[in-house]
Amino acid sequence: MKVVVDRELCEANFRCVAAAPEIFSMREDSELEIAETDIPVELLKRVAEAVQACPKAALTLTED
Amino acid sequence: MTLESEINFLDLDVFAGGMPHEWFTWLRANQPIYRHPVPDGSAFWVLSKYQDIVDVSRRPDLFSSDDMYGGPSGLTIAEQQRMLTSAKGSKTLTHMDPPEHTIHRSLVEKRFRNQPIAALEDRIREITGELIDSSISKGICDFVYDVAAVVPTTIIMELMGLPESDREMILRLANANFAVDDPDFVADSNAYTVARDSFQEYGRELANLRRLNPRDDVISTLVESRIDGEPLSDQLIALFFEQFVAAGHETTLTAISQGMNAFIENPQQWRALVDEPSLSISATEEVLRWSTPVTYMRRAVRQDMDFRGTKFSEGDSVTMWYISGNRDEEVFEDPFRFDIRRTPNNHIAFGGGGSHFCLGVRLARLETRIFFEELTKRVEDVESIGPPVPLRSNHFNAFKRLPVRFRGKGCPVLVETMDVQ
Repeated sequence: MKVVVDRELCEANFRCVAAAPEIFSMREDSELEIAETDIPVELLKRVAEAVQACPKAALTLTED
Repeated sequence: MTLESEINFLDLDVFAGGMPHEWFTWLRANQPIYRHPVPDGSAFWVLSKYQDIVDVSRRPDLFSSDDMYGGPSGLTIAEQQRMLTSAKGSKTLTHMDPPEHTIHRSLVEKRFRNQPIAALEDRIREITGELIDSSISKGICDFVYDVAAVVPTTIIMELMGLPESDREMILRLANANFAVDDPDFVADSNAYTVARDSFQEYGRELANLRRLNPRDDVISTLVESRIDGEPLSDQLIALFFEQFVAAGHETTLTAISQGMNAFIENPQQWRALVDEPSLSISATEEVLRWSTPVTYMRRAVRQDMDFRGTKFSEGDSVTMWYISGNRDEEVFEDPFRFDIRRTPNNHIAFGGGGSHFCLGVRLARLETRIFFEELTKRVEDVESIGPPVPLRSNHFNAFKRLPVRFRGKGCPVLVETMDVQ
């Protein structure tokens, strides 16, 4: 499973970073950075929480 | 008479007597998806549960904010018409759906992100401190307009590049937006129309000024923007101006007033914040949950569907009551307790999430937190000297009056000598 961000919706609230810092981080230009990797099973729950926590609903979990 | 038969969200005199929380509590327990009848034969759905509000908010494809289907506010068709007429053919962000919404919001949203808003902290702290010091010297005041309104108004005016000399006019015109049903502010529907027209006229003049002399501000950005090579219309810019100024001060001043009242009613919470200033962050979230300045927003159903066992038809009005979601017993333990240590506190005062999530969220949080930080540094306490008077509105959980006395640190309790209306 991967997580993708809709850049047009993202406003860098960074609730995702708080929920799953292994996958989400802030770049130097203050934009969101998502780790490219497939999400490890043990992080799926927290990434799902991050998706729910995003106030702009900018994140989606996808199969591939 | 059962409680259900008493429920009437259109009876504004009930709201003028104080938010009818008992109605929402009953609805959450008995009819969480409630079909509220309207005298004209229509109806609107009342969502009182936190999760339902969040689920609807996050699906703008299924639940529309667009004026084409009635718009984002108004419980009756008449109320929706009133808003639509005053918009004179254009619309601001809250009245749009994606993708139109996304394109327009992206023109200005960067100005409201962490860094630009955090850069205002020193200025906010400076004016807040001065304001509170002067309130202590005066002693007695009406908290809502003498105190709570000052910083949000000043900051939004500075962000919009408005001259200080226009403050009184701006406040009076902005009030027409949210105090539309309160005769203390808006005499009648004609006064509403006149006020909104004047406010938009001001916005159009401002757009022209910025076209001639652009600055680094929101209106200049809108004036310079192009969508598919076309500039934005003057009326659209005027509506953006109207909404940002109105939203940028009314909601925050309400959060501060309601928060102040909550501290007055809960002196132990006040003492806790005075003794432990680091609680200001979680206290701010509790003030926001408690105050929920915008009580509801509306959506129109875009297709027939089953929503948690209830059949919604295309075109139905669905109203999301944040004031109820923020008291949802399934989400907040002991929801009617004002608790500045409450954790977690995932309130929906800024909306249920999705495209329309409050653009001013960081500014609102910053102004509110700084207010109570500076207040606890400077005053012994703030004492109620008269009852809070709610605004006559089902849309804004506001006070229009909150008579108080400020007592500076180390000051004795003064004897009341003034007559306060």
